Amino acid sequence: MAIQSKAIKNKSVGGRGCMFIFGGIFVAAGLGVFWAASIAPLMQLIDARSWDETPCVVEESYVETHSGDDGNTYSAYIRYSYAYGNGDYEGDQYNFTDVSTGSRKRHQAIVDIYSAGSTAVCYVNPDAPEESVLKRNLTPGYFFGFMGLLFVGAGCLVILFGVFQGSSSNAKSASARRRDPIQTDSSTGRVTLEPESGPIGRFIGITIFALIWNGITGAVCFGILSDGGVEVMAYIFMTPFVLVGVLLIGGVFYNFLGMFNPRVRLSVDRGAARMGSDIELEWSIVGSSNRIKSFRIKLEGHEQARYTRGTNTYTDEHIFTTIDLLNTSERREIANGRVTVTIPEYTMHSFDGGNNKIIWEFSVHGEINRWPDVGNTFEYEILPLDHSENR
Amino acid sequence: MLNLKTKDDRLEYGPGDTIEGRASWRLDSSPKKAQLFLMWFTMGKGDEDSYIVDECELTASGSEEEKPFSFKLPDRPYSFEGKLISLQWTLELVTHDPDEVYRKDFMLSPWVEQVVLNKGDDDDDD
Repeated sequence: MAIQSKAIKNKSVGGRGCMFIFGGIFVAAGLGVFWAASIAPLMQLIDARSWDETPCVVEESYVETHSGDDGNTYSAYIRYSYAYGNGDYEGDQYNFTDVSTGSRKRHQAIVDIYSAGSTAVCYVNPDAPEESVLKRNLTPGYFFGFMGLLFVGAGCLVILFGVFQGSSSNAKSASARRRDPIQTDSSTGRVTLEPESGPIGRFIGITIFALIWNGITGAVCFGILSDGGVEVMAYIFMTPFVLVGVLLIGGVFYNFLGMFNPRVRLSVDRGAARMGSDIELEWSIVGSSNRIKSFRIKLEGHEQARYTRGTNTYTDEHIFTTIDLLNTSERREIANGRVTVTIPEYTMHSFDGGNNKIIWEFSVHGEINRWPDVGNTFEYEILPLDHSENR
Repeated sequence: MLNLKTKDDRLEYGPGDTIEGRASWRLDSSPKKAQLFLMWFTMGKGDEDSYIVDECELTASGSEEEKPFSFKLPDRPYSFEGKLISLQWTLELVTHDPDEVYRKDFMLSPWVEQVVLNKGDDDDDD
């Protein structure tokens, strides 16, 4: 029935559960890779440092080919024999990592060193002489499993997104949504507004994204370089990804500096205002306001529409009203002040339908010479007219 | 065939007003159930949001009937038309077995016309 299906559209519990499961699979898979490809081999490597150096004879060696959907990969197979204590043993462990790569040349070089019939040195576990290894030095291959942490990070982001989405869609009624101010002064009734995002949150967000992006890009580049061959097309293909990675590193640095900026504190004489009413906005700069050369405060009304195309979700915004409240370069005015704001009468009140929203927010921007600027937004609820007095 | 008729054919209401009228149907057989919903939904670029504000069940005893209805309207959300989003109020009459749906749109606004965001502004500034 048409109406029931419409009503159910507002509920996102199923989607939230899927995100937890999907994110959880990513986290579990990432931790599995991290453990199996890095932590466990590294623990074996540390243990092997106390094993006994023993002469051995290479019985057989060749390059193994592993067929896969994305082409062949290769690894070195070396079987050797050694005598330890009163017994004779055989082993086939080159090192503790079992990473096969696309470079046959690299593994052929190992096989050439350990050719059949040659003598070499292996390391034997004195507590279990059947256990041995040819190489016990630390190589980049032991860190391959750290790529699993990228999946852990991505999974955590999916779970966090699910938590965020769930909390934002819990309230069913469009009229019932109201942001809680972080602090109300009981003596004056003034309400301190909460910024949309803090500098620390922005820094953490871009740092996680930069780590994931550069981790994946770095792993692909590492693979190309370790293959040995110089494929010009591969370098051209990877260049834009590397450039974005460099820009993200710049963004991390920029947001790190932004953490040391002065903060803007906004308060209003009440937590929500009706259309057509006046409110008193007060601002103050926490930190060194002298660094800010010019300062602007605006009240903006936004339409925000979230929509899905295929598996992707997009959000479009359109500002339908901008009211300039302050635009000054006077240091005394920048440091703190008050302004009376008249909310337009003929406009649309705050509205949150889930996917579609009308958002009112104070936008602040302070310009600092040769340093990241101060900027933030503070959402504020605009209520409908008092209908008993209108129409 | 279903039909909804508001009192005096009025389709513009203010917050807190009462919307009343008559719901009728002329079907091949008596419906097992008939419901009337007061609701709003969004249109435009975003995925649709909708919310049933109130509903009532109409006693159905024949294939041809006319029933009075009355809903008190809330103070929000207003009907509006923006560049990305519009919001429409509607009454929806639904019968079950036979399944039929009929919708009558109306405006909820404190003014005589619905709110138009960016009225007169055709700038493509989003």
